[in-house]
Amino acid sequence: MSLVWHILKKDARVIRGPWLAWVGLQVAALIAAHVAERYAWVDPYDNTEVAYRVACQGLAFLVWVFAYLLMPLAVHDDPVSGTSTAWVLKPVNPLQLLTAKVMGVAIFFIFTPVIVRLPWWLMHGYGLDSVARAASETILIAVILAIPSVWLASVTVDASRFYRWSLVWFGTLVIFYLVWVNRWMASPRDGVTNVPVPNLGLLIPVLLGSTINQFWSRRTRRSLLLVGAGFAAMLVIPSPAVVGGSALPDVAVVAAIDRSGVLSVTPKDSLAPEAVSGWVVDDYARDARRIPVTDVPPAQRLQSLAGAALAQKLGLTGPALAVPVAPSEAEGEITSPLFVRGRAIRVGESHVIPLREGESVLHGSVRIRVDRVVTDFTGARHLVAVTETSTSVARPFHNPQDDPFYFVRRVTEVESVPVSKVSIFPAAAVAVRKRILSISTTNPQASLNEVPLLRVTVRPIGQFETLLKRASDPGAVENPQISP
Amino acid sequence: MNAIEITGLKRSYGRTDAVHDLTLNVPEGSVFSLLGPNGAGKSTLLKILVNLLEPTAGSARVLGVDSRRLSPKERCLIGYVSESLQLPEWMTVGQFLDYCRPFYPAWDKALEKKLLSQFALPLDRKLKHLSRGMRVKALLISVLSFRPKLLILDEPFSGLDPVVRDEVAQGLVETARTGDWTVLMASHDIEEVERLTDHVAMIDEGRLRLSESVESLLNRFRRVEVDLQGGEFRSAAVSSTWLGFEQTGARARFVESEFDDRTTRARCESCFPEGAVTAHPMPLRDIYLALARSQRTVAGARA
Repeated sequence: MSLVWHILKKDARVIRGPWLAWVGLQVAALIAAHVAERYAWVDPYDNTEVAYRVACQGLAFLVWVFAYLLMPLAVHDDPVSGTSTAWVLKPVNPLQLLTAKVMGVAIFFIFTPVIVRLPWWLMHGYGLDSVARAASETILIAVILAIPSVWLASVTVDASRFYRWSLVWFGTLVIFYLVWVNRWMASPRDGVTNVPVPNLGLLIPVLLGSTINQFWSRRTRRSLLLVGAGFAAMLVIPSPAVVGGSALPDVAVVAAIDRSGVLSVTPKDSLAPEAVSGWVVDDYARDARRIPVTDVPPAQRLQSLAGAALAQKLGLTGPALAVPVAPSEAEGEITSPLFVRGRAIRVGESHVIPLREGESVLHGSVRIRVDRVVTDFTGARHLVAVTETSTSVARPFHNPQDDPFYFVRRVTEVESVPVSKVSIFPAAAVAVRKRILSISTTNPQASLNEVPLLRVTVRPIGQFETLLKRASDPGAVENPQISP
Repeated sequence: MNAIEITGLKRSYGRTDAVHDLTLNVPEGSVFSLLGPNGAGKSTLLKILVNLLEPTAGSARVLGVDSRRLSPKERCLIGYVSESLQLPEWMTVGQFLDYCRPFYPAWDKALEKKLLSQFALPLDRKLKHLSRGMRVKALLISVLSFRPKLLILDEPFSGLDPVVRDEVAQGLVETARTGDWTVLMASHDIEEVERLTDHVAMIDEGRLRLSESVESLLNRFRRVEVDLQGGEFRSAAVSSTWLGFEQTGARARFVESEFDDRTTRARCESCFPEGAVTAHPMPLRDIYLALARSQRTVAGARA
C-alpha cells in the first residue's frame, strides 16, 4: 500500500497545477450560477440572468471536457504503453499501479466536483436525499468520462497521442452512429422503421477489461483488439432501446393484440408541436378511437408515430385513435418524487417499465391537479410518465428532485397532463389495453416510465381542448366514421 | 550458469524479421556486448529481454524466468538503460531518485551518493534542463543504485562526448566490479566495448553472426600483409578464412579470421610460395569492420 501512496503523491505533484485551474473553473461556474440567481425575476427585460446562466452552463460543460482531458496526466506519468519510457520497467505490481491511478482519478476528478458543489447544494436547501442524488449524478458523469479517458490514456504513450486518438475515436463514433441509423432507417424490418440504440453499455465492461489488461500485460495491441471485439459485439447485440421508432414487445403480447389504441404525438423530425398537432388533428385524429387489428400483421400493429397511418392502412374503418399531444400547451404538476419498484425514476433512463397486475408504487406518490375530467377515466390504472431534468445535469445547481414530468397519460383512453416546465418534446407511444407496448422519443435525455395512476387531474388548454372536444364527440366515439 | 538464455528467438514486424531464429547465452557475471550495424535487431532483442516486446517465436529466459513472465521480484534485479528512454521531465534529479528509491528494497543510498558525486549531477536541476550526457548519468544512477544482478544497456554511450563517455564507462566498470553483476550492452562504441567487455556477439539482419569472448576474438583475427617479392600468386589457394582479400601490385592484404601462426603461414606459403608474410594483431574495431564488410560482400553476392 505504501507504494500506492508513493505513486499517488507523485501524481498529485504532476497534476496539481492543471487540477487547481480545473477546480477554479468549477468555482467560476458556481459564481455564475449565483449571480444568475440574484438577477432572476428582478427585471423581465434584463438579460443579465440569462447571460450568467448561459455562462454557467458553458463553464459547467467545460469542466467535464477538461476533466476528460486532464485525467490522463496521472496515467501518462507512469505509462503502461510504449517501449521507450523510463517508468515502464519499475518493479511495481500491476494491481498496485492500477489502484494508484484509479485512486488518483477518483480523488482528483470524480469526488472533487461533489465536494466543490456540496456547499451550493446545502445552501440551496437540498435535503439529504437530494444531495445524495445530485452527488450520484455528478459522480456518474465523472465516471462515464473517466472510463474512456483512463482507457485511452493506458494505451497511449503521451498526451499528444491521447488527444489525437480522442478526436479519432469521437469522429469514429459519430460516423458509426450515422451509418448505424442510416442502415436501420434504410431497411425497415417488417415495415417497422425502428432504430435500435447501439449497445453502448457493452463498451463499459469492454473498456474496463481492456484497461485492466493493459495494466497487467502492457500489450497494447491485445488491449485494442479487445475493444475492437467489444465494438463488434455491440453491433451484434443491440440494446433493447430504440430511437425514432417503437420497441417491439415480445411476440406473445403482439399476438394477443386484438384492439389497438395508437397515440401519435408529433413526427420525430419535427420540433414544432403546435404546428404538427394542428396537422395531426386535422388529418388523423379527428374521429378515430379504436381499431380492430386482429388481421393486421404484428409489425403494422406497432407502427408508431403514426397511429393514423395505421388506421389508413387498415382502411380507416374500425375504431382507432390517433391523438396528438402538444405537451407545451398543457399544464400539470408533480408534487412529490415518484418511485417505481423501489427505485427512483432517474433522468436518462430510456426503457419502459411495464407494471403488471398487483404491482404498485412503493414509495412516494404523484399528484396531478385536475381541473376537469374530459373523458371517462373509470378503471384506468396506468400513466405514462416522461421525465427530464429541469436543468442540465451538468449544471451545478441541478436538483434532481426538481425534474418535472413532461407528460403523464392514460393509455387505454387518452389524456395529457404535462407539467409546467414542459418544453418541446416529441414522443410517440403504442398502447394496447392497459399496457404500453412501446414508447419512443427522439429526445435522448428523456426517460419513459409506466407507473400506476394514483390521482390525476387534467387541465387541457388550447388546441388540445379542441381536439378532445372533437374526440369526445359522442357520435365519433360510438360510431366512428373515418374519412380517408 | 547463464544469466540469459535465448533459444530460437524471433520477432517480426509485419513481414520483416527484426530478430531471426537467434540462440545466444550470456554467462552470469560476464560483461557481454552486442555489436551490429543500425537496424541489426540489437535494441529489439534487448526490449524482448525486459518484456517491453513479446517474441513472435522462441523464448528468452532472464535470470531463470521466461522474459514474458518477469514479475516485480525479478524486475528488482534487472536494470535497463536505453538511449531513447524518456524521463519524467518535470522532476528534478533529486525527485527522480526519491521516486525510484522505494521501488527497490535493495537500494544502496551510499552508492547513490557516491555515484552522484562521481558524476557531478546537480540534485536540484530539472531533468528537462539536463544535457544528454547528464540524463544518461541520472538514468545510470537510478539503475546502478539498486545493485541489479543484470544490467542491460542499450547504446549507453551514444552521443556522449569523450569526457562524459569516459566518466560513464568508468562508473559502470567500477560499480560492476563491486558485485557479481552481469552486464549486457548494445553499443556502437567499439573502443568502449573492447575496454569494458569480456564477451562479444555480433548481430546482423537479426541473425547471430558470432558470439565469443573478446580474448578469443582478438587471438583469432590478424591483419596479414604479404610482400610477394616478385614471386608467384596462386589465387586458387586463397583460404576461405581470409576476409577482404586484396592484391595491389606486389602486395596482398587480408584479414585472417582463424589465425594460428603455423597454420596461417602454411596457408600463405601455398598461396604465395615466395612471399614475405607479416601478421598484425587487430583491435576489436577493425575485426568488427572486417566482419561487417565481409557480411555485406556475401549479402551482395547473394543478391
